[in-house]
Amino acid sequence: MNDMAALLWTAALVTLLYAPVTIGLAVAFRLLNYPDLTCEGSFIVGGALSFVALQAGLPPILSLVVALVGGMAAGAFTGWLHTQLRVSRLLSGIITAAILYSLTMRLLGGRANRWIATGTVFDTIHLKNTSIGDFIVAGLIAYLVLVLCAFLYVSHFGRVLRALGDQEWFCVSLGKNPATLLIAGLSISNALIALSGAILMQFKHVCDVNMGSGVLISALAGLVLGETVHSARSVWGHTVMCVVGTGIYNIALGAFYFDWELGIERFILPSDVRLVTGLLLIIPALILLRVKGRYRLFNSSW
Amino acid sequence: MLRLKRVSKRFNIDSDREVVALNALDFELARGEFVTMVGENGSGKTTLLRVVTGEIAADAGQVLFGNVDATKMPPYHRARFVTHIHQSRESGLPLSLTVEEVMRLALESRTHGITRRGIHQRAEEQLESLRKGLSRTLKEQVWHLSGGEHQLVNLAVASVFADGPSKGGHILLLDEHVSQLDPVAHSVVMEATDQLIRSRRLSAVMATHNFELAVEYGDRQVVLSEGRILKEFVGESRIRSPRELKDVISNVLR
Repeated sequence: MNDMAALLWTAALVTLLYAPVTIGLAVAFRLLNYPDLTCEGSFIVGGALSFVALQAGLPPILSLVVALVGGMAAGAFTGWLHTQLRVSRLLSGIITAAILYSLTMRLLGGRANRWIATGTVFDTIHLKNTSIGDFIVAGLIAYLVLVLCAFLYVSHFGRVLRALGDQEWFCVSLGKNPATLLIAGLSISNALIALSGAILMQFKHVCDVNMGSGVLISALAGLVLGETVHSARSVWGHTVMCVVGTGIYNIALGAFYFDWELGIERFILPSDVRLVTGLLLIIPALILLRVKGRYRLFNSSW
Repeated sequence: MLRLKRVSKRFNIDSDREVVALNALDFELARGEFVTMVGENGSGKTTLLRVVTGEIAADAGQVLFGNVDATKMPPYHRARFVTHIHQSRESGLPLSLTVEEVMRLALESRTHGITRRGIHQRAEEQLESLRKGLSRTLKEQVWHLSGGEHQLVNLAVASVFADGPSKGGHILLLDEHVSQLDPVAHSVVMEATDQLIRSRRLSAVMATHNFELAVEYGDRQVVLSEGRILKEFVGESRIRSPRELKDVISNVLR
């Protein structure tokens, strides 16, 4: 395999691993119109929970379910802070994420990272070429997430959630409690993000408290890139564009670190990744503003 | 149908900008009655409507729907009895949904086990009965509707809610709901509103600054000032010309 093909292959794999984060973030930021910053907390807690579950001898699939449930609890806590304690939207997520960091450390027995030798979902398929096996597993999970989202969006509940993000009062007139709906919506969002954290942990065979840092910004970049390429009208289309956007983001990042033999590679540092991510977020946002005449990255009321 | 008993509401309590929005106000609305409510800005019209929906909690007093004491009822439970239509689309329907999705949500939340086909048919009927040709908008996003169409769809949603479990009658609150419309849409929406209220025997309160509307529509005129009902005109004593109503109000306020 030549270098270019390797770049695309890696980008595709990473996209599948991280796709649930972008989809989950879209649920909060777009569907619910809620700038939920719980993301990095629920991501690592998902990883840590599935690590603990694996250590306890649970089957890998079940360990993913444990992570899902943990993510739901995290999202529900953020929603509870906002709806019951009247904490602002931004602050509610920040508080939860901070708490989750310490909780993750506890789950990892007070250590910043823990290794796991075998027994992950990626070890359930035995192929000669392990990277194809990884691809199949990650692809299957991403596919499942997409199918579940499709079911959610066409359901009555999904429509109510969309109405909630748009016009809270309309949900009230439908006879629904908006606080309960928001908590449910944030639970779904963070469950997906925690799932992604668990998958990444199992893929890397290591759980690290710092693996969540930077996830929020890269998922946002994926979200905005997807919206820039094609602004889908349907939620379903939007979800697909989240995955496409994550793909574009990962290819762009791969291309940035690719050895183009231009002699500028020595100026590039590994830590530049967030700088590039920031640019990948700002540039499409500018395009949306200048060329398409609309700007949706951040709602002014947030 | 609706009773407010000595309802009071103050804003900015204990500050030098304290406002008395409702002052021990009593109000009754009979089944099938259409009340028009006038009064200058800050007279308490909007606060009164919001106290009924539960959007604002009253400091004192009682809100009753029929014999049901709703004072402590959360807004999402009061929605069974009352529907509120606002002035602007910013506080109206969810903008990114299509009209069909909006109607579907309304129908599903009021009729259990309704089929997809039934939904489509009912949605079409409701829209057409309000205005011929309105069902054309079914596939459109609420965002793309004109101001008049938006309010007509709002009325269609209200009529779905009126079919719900509140068989004893439904309350419709209109807060300046035609004030941002062009003259043609204005009269189209007002006609549809009146027809809906009459055909479904809804109990309605319409807050308005437009004296012509207050004269042309409704069974009773209510003049609000400083959080109290100052004057009411019912039946034969109803004021017939906008000018007369204006004079009455300036006399009352003086």
